[in-house]
Formats: sequence, structure tokens, C-alpha cells
Amino acid sequence: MGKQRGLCICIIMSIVLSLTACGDTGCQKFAQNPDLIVYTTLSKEIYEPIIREFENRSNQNVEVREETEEDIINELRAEKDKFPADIVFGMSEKNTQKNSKLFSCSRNFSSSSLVIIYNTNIVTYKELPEDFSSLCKEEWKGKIGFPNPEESPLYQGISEYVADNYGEEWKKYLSEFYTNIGKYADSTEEIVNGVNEGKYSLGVVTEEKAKTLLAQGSNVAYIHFGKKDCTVINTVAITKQQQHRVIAEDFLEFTLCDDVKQYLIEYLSYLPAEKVQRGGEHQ
Amino acid sequence: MKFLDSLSYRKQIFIGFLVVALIPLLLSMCFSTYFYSVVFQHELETDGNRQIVELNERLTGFFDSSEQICKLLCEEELSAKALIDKVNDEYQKALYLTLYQNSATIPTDVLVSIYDIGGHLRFATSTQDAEEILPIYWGILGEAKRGKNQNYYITNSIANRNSNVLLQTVYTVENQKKVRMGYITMSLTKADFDQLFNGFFSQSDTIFVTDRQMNIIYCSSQNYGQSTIDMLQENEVPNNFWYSGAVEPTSGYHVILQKQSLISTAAKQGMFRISLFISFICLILCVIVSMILGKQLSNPIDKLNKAMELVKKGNLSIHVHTNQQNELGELTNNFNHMTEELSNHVDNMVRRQKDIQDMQIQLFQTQLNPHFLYNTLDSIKWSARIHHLEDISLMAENLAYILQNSIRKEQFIPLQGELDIIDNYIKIQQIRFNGKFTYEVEIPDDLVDCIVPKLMLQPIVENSIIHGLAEQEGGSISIYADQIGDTISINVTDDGVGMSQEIIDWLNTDNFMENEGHLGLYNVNKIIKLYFGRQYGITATVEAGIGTTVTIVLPIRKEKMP
Repeated sequence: MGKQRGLCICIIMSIVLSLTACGDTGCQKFAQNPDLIVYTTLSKEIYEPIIREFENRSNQNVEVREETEEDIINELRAEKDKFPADIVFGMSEKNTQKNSKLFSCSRNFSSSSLVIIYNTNIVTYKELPEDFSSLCKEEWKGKIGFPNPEESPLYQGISEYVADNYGEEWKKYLSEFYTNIGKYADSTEEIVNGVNEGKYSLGVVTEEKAKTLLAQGSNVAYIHFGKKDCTVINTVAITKQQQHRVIAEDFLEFTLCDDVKQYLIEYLSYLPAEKVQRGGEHQ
Repeated sequence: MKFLDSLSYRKQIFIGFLVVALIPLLLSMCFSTYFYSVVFQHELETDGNRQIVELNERLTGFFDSSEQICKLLCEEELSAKALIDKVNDEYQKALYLTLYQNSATIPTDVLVSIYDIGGHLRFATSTQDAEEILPIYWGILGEAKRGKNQNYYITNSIANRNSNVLLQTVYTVENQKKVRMGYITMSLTKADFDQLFNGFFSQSDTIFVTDRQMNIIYCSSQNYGQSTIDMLQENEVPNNFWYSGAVEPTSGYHVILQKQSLISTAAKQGMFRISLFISFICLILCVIVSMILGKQLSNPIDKLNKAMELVKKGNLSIHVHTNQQNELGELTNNFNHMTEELSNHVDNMVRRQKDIQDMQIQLFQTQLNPHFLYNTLDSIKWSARIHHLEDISLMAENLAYILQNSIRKEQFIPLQGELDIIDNYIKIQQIRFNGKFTYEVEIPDDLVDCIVPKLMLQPIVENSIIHGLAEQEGGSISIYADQIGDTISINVTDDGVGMSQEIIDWLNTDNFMENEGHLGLYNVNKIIKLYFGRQYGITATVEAGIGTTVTIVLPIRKEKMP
């Protein structure tokens, strides 16, 4: 009797298992392990051509994860040896130096002066912005083209600039600027096109981008943030707990090579770090 | 099985219905779902594998054609001409003709551009889409410039500002001395890919082309993109889809086909819900049918059970009504018949007992005051002795003996005791009739201890003396017994005037009735029949020259009777 019951259970179990075993998706064919893991604070339009070029040249598989600087630092500190990043790409120079213990090696990758662009057909002479504080005026509320501050490395640079140049009231200025930002732009191109087409009255971009716009004869002009330039310097750093040292070093070397520097200038409106004097006074 | 035995019949029927109805239903549903899933999945996989081979061949065909056309342009020196001379209409016509004649597997709108060694555009099939200048240190031209062993490259590097371009091929133009003069590029947009793969997949399918690092280059549907590829790499595949991939040999790129499952998850859920619904209906039907059947079976059984309880308590008048013509109806009818028979039997028993009691009452009524009579007879005996009246004394003594035995409680006594009573009675009658008849007894020794009803012989002997011998001079009475099988036959024979035929017939009748003049014979006969059965009792025969014989037939019993 017991044997019969056992046999019945076996038959039912085998039926259930065979029924649940159907459906092969074949997805295991596509699984690939990355050869290098890069955490970046840069926008996709900046990092993607560089990463793609590196992949094509080295034939390595690079996995990119977008994070804010704050998150990367917090995760680096919290997870220590378990943090999977080999490279942190695009973190500000200040934060990189502050957390230098977390990195085995770091280099300045690019720098860019931020400027305020405006549409010459929309902004009248009287309304013409004078410096960064103009961005905090209520009349520009919702009319400023800027990426999401929580995701943009530009905002980090602006924060540092305001803290250095606006004394004790820097937090107030920064808060008002934050409030004035309109619909967040997804890319620099959207800011540029938005200002050019009148969607935004003002926008914040790199000086190189503004120069390109001027050269194209757009309805756009620009001014600097103030007497001193607002310069953002990005770094590329190898983490201490990296798992792919050789490839990480290749990547770091690649980001500093002449081809990348030239591409930064010509196509991304960024300057290589060595081309700009940090905090240089505007002439 | 013990569990089943412990359940009521109704529950057993319900479980039986569930086993024979619900389980086969569920199994058949599971198997049919599984069967169709397997068949459709097999069909999907066969179709998908064939499609992926065709799509991969299509892409390879494009790369091969692209290289061949570029080679041809170089061999016909059309590319060199474009790099050196100004392009005129005649040149354009010749170049378009070459492209048209060799573009069987190339999308018609694909952008063909010729760049000089510095990356400046010298010719393009569409000047609107072509980049005026391409960096020679980056992207497609950078790759071609760095390359040494081959002339043809494929890349998805991002070097141009035209974001519509998804993929580019480049062919290095060299002069006769193998010195690089420029580059021929072909740029594919999404529309070109759509045209390339058109007709090789259905609308519900999605095609992905990725580079070697699984970065997406092309996706036929706007609903999917890099996130789908990332999910595939993480083995997180949506249930509704089946994926197949192949590596394009020229570029090393991946061509991935996403096919919608022929049986979607929603359809499977629908089938599951339908199965559940049908199972529920089946369950309800099982409950209803088992209740009806159980009621039909258990109701008569319950009725019979209750009736049996009443019968157990003594109520034999119970009658169970049934309209059923089946086995249960037959069982109920048999029960009713049984109770009726039992009731009749009990009635008979009661009636018989009542008859015995009546007989006993009659016997008691015939007895005056036996002790008083015995004492009186004893006084008469002694008074007669004093007055020397020997006959009176002897009669009183014998009568007292008879009376003494008759008033004993025992209703059955050994045959010898009965013969002693008869002996005393004969002595009294011989005194009365001055000894004019003789008397003899012949009983085998092994029969004298047979148990017989008390005073069984006295009425018969009295009948012989009073009616047979009293009217004549002389005569004899003989009592003899014989064993016939397991019965004893006791005969009382007299040679008197003989018994009338009427009395003989009365005695020999099975159902003889009470006769006023022969109460003694009637009582004896009735007692024998009541106690021992109707086959026993008294019979009489008259034979000429011999006399009248009254025969008592009894079963031989030697144990004490109540």
C-alpha cells in the first residue's frame, strides 16, 4: 500500500515538474561578463563616444553605470572592498582629492568653463544677465535651461563656485537658482536648441559649446559667471578595489591620449584639463 | 482504505466522484496545456532559428556587397576620380550605375560617401545627410587609418554629428602603389536597417543588432532598446518572449531575434482561469450528483435502520414504505415481509402460551382444595379402619395417594410414577366393581423412566372402565409400552363394549375440538400437543374380538421437564 502511494506521488511530481519545465527562452546565450566596470557622473552624450571608442579599439566589454558623485562616494566608503567599480569617470577634482584614499590613481581628464547663454531675440538689453546672480532673479523662473541638478556634474561645479564667491549668502543664491530652473533638460543639445529656439530664455553650457553656437550664427550670445570663471574639472580615477587593473590602466591612459583630447575639443565642447588654468581670471 | 471506511456513504460517493471526474479533468487540462505549449514552442523555435539564420545572412550579405562595391569603385577608379577631380554629372551617373548594378542586398537609400585622406567629404549620394568632415583620429576613419592589414572596416563608433547613422562601413582607397588616398564610407540609418531586414520577420517580432560588447546598434521596434539587451545579459527574460541570437561572422556583431510566444502569459492565465472555472463547475456537479445519489441510497438505508431500531425495541408492526423497484426496494420489501412473519410467529407463541395458562387454570379449577381433601380422605381411612370397613379404608388410602401425587407441583413425572397412580386408581375401581375386570401392565424397563405428563393415563383408564367394562361382566385392561424410533408408544387396551366410531373419529382428527363428555381425553391430548407438538397425541382404534386401544405417542425424554 505504501509503495503504491509512493509511486503515485512520484508520477504526480514528475508530471508537475515536466509541466513546469517547459519554455526555453535561450537567454543564456547572451550573458557576457564585463571586462571593465565604469561608474560615471558624466552625461551620456559625453561618456558614450569615449567608451564606445575605447571598446572598439581595445575590443573590451565596458559596463557603464551612471551615478551621482555623492552616491559613488557613499558607496565607495560603505562597501569598500565589495564596491564593483574599476574606474570612476568624471568626478570633480575637488571630490577626488578629498577622497583620494579610495583611489589608487587619478588624473584630471577635462575642464570646462561654464557660461550663461541667452537668446538675443528674447532677452532685451535691460534684462541682460550680468553674472551668476542674475540667474537667481525671479523674472527668470522656469526659463533657465539646465540639466537635473541631482544628476548633473555642472551643478557640483556651480555649487563650488558660488560657495567660493558669494560669502555667507551662497546657500541662498544656490537655493534661488535651483528654484528658477525650468523643465530639466536631458542633454546639452536640448539646452542649446531650447535657448536658440526660444524654449528657454537662458541656459548654462560650457564656453566651448557657446563658442560653437556663435560660430554657427545662432541667435545666441553668452556671458561669463562673473569676474572669475566657473571652471569644472573632471577626473578619471582607478579605485583601490578594482578587479581589472590592466584594462583600467589602459582606459585611464586612453582618456588622456591626444585623440580623446582632440575629440573633447572638437565634438564635445570640453577642454582637456591641461588646457585650462583652474580658476583663471577672465580677461 | 481505513480512512474511506470511516467516512459516511455519502462522503465516500462524493470522494469517488471527485476522483473519477475532477482528477482526470485536471490532468487532461494540464496535459493539453502542456502539449500545446510544447508544440507551439517547438514551432516558434523552428521558425525563429530559421529566421535568425536568414537575418544573419542578410547582414553578412550587406557587408559583403558593401565591400565588393567599394572594391569595384576602386577598380573602376571612380573613387580615385572623385578624390582628384571635381565631380560632374557624368561621373555621378557612372557611380550610381555601378551602385545600382551591385546593390541587390544593399538598401536603396544607403548613404555612400567618399572622404579624402584628411577626412573631408568629396562625394556623397546624399549631401544633406553626409558629414562635411570626419575626424581621422576617431571613429570610422580613425579605425581605417590605424588599420594595416585590411581595407574594409565596420564600426558603430560615434564620431559624426548625424545621430541618425547607426552603423558605418569604410573602405580604404589606395592608389596603384598602395598609398592611401581616401575612404569610401557607407552609413546605415534605422530606415536602411528596416529596408535590409524587411520581409524577413513578422510585425510581432523584434530584431536587435548589437556590437561585440552588446551595445545596441539597431532595434526594429521603438518599444525596446538597450534595456532589453541588458535584461538578456542579466538572464532576466520576459515570459512572453523567446529569443534567438547569432554572431555575424564579418563584424562579430550580434543579431538577436525577439519573438512573441505563440501562447502568451495572458493566454496561459486565461487557460488556467478556464480550467479553474470548469473544475469549479465540475466540483459543484460532483456535490449535487453525489448528494442526490447519496440521498437516494442513504434515505432507504436510514429508514431501514430506524425501523430495525424499533423492531429491536419490540415494535413488529413497523412497515417501511418504498416506491423503489431496485435492490434497495427489494431489501425494504423483504424487511417488511420479515417483520410480518416475525409478528405472526410471536402472535402464535403468545396464543400458545395463553392456551397453556388457560389449561392450567382449568386444571386448578377442577381441584377443590387438594390438601383439605387429602386430610379428609386420611380421616376417612382411619375411621374406616376403626370401624373395620377395609374396603372404604383401602379406597380412601388409594384415593389419597392419587390426590397426593396430583397436587404436586411437577407437571411431568416418570412413567413409573404415572403407573403407580393408575395402580391406585385401579384398586379403587376394582373395589367398586367387585374385581370383575383384570388389569396388567407391561412396560420395558428402559422406558419406565421416560418423562410423561402427570395424570396422562388416568382419564384413559377411567374411560375404559366407565364406558367399556362397566356394562359387562368381566373384562381386562392392559397397559403396555413400546419404543418406536425416538418415540414411546403407550397403549391402553380394554376388551369392553368398544368405543363409538364418533369418539374414535373425534380422537383421530388432527384438529379435534373440545368434547363435553370427554373432557379428560381432550385435556390430555391438548397438553401433549401443546408441549411436544402437533405430531404427538392420542389416537384410538377398535378391533373386533380384541377391543379398544387408545394409544399415546410421545417423544422419549428422560431429562426433567419444567
